[in-house]
Amino acid sequence: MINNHTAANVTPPCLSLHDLHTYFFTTERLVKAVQDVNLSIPSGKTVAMVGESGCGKSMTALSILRLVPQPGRIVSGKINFNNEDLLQLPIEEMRRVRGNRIAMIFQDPMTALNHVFTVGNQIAEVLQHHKGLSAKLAQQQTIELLHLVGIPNPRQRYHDYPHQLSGGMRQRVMIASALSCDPDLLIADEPTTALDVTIQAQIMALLNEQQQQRRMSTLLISHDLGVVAQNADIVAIMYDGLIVEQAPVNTIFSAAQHPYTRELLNCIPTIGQRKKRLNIRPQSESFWDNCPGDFAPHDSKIPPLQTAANDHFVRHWNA
Amino acid sequence: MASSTETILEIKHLHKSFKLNSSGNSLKRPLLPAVIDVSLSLKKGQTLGLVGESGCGKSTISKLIMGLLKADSGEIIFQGHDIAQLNHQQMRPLRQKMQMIFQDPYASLNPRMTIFDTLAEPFKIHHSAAKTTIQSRVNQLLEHVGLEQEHGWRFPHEFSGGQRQRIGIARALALTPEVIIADEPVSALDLSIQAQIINLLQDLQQQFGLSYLFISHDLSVVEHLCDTVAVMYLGRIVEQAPIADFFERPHHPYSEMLLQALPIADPRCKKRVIPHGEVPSPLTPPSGCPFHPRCCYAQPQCSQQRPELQQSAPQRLVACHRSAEITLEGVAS
Repeated sequence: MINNHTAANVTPPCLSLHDLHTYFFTTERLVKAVQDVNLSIPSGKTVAMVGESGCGKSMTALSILRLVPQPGRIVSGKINFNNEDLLQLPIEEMRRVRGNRIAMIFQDPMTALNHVFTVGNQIAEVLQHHKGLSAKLAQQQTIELLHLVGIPNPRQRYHDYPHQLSGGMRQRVMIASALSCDPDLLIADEPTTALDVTIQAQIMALLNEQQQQRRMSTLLISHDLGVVAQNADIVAIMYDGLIVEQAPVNTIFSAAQHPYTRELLNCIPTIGQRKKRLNIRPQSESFWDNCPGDFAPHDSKIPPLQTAANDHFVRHWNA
Repeated sequence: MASSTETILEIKHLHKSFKLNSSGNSLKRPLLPAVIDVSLSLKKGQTLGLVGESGCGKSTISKLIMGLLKADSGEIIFQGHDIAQLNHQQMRPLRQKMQMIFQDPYASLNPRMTIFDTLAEPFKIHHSAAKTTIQSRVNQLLEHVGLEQEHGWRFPHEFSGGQRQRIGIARALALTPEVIIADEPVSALDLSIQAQIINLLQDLQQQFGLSYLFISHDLSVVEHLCDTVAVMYLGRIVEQAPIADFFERPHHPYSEMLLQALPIADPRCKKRVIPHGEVPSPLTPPSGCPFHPRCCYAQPQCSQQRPELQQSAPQRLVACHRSAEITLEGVAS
């Protein structure tokens, strides 16, 4: 799997981010939520962004859709999607991209779905809006989509409200809605975090199956290294708004070079290592405090992301 | 650590149903059985893990033990008392010995009380420390959980999720309990913070000889912390086993499904079986074995007769008709 990326390098990537910076201008201080992010998602592949809460992974995703909430703003950078820079698009055009060519699913389907409309209605609306389908045709396609994502009795469930469905079924509805316009890129922000392990496995299997059939690219945002190991092709590790290491999934798990990546890997309670102390840094300390000098920022300058091997990038000072 | 096999907390044949508000027909309020005939025992100084999918009754059990809910029938024996039968007054002294840690460190602390007040409250309520010593007791608690003295003067919103969970743990420790019921204490936390809290729970157990009832849906955390595990499905215990045996070879197909669903943080071992189906509604439980609609080993008898929880090996209980004939797969360690 590692060396298959040569093919992906020939065909242009589905999405590529260049020097993306998204800052929050709060009254007290400037928060650099996303800094110097360079990332490309090859067509048909899954790229996972991994990091702790507040590391900037969700803000990167929202930047792609240009939905960064106030007081945040994309300060600089380029977002190339199918050979156009999304940041240059007029807002009308951008609206045509969202939910159509780039779709997103969220962690909590209960808050992402509208409580007062039936689930069928909400999917049909997307189809009517983006594809200009008639109400009747949209309903028909919605039922097909609900069937496709594994919802039993889709004809009846069409008329259900979100609260009538279980968490797993709601997430399936979200996926049906995201897939409705056959997107080129699917952004999945913690799609299974709110679900039980059994349902998580089902949802990830469904996403993988749909991705393969549609040759869709996926940006998977997760803090669960298990989910990432099982589903991603390429992994980008984020800390403090920066991608600190990026590599094919096997490399990340077997030959990580950045100390932060190693720290994350050490935190996982591994089966078969009972009651061993987990390896962690003391609480309330920033990772940079005890980070080896080669990797830490100096005088508010951040080290550059450098090539360590083919497709393997690490942020450090040494040339 | 735990050489004694003294049982500190025992639950016998516990039942609890909830009456639902039915829409329309007010005469027929449907009964939702949340906990059905559950028996468990927690040994001193050990950790008992309780696992299962959402809605299987794990949290109801913890609330029954704490006396926050009243059991329909059954016994909860703690220090020789059947606490299911005690009233509020009689329960009070015993409550000090059993404390709870909650899942959501944001919701379980009073946002308008300083940390000092939160931690001093148990002493005041139970008159278990003189006014003059409260200050030093609180400082001691903060130290136990790895916080500073000056943190006492802050409010919950000034802390991160991990720190709040430490405060929740400090509060649980205040009255030197013997049993701590931890209801998903780490599932709301980030990976590295989760690791800190797991380490802290282990340290405190060693230091104070605590016994934990650890409720979780994350089997890798359970494996890390627990000595015994009990698996629940639709309000019933379906398997109970020592932790190592359980992970090596589960005896119930549901346990196997849970283990197989666990995403392994190693890209070289790829997923095997995808679990199918969802937990059925407890209002209309399937006939026979409640798990049979999702079970890939089910046979006709499974849909007709419910298997009883029986001994399948020393210290192991399982409720499955076919556990003797089928060999299930664990997780290689």
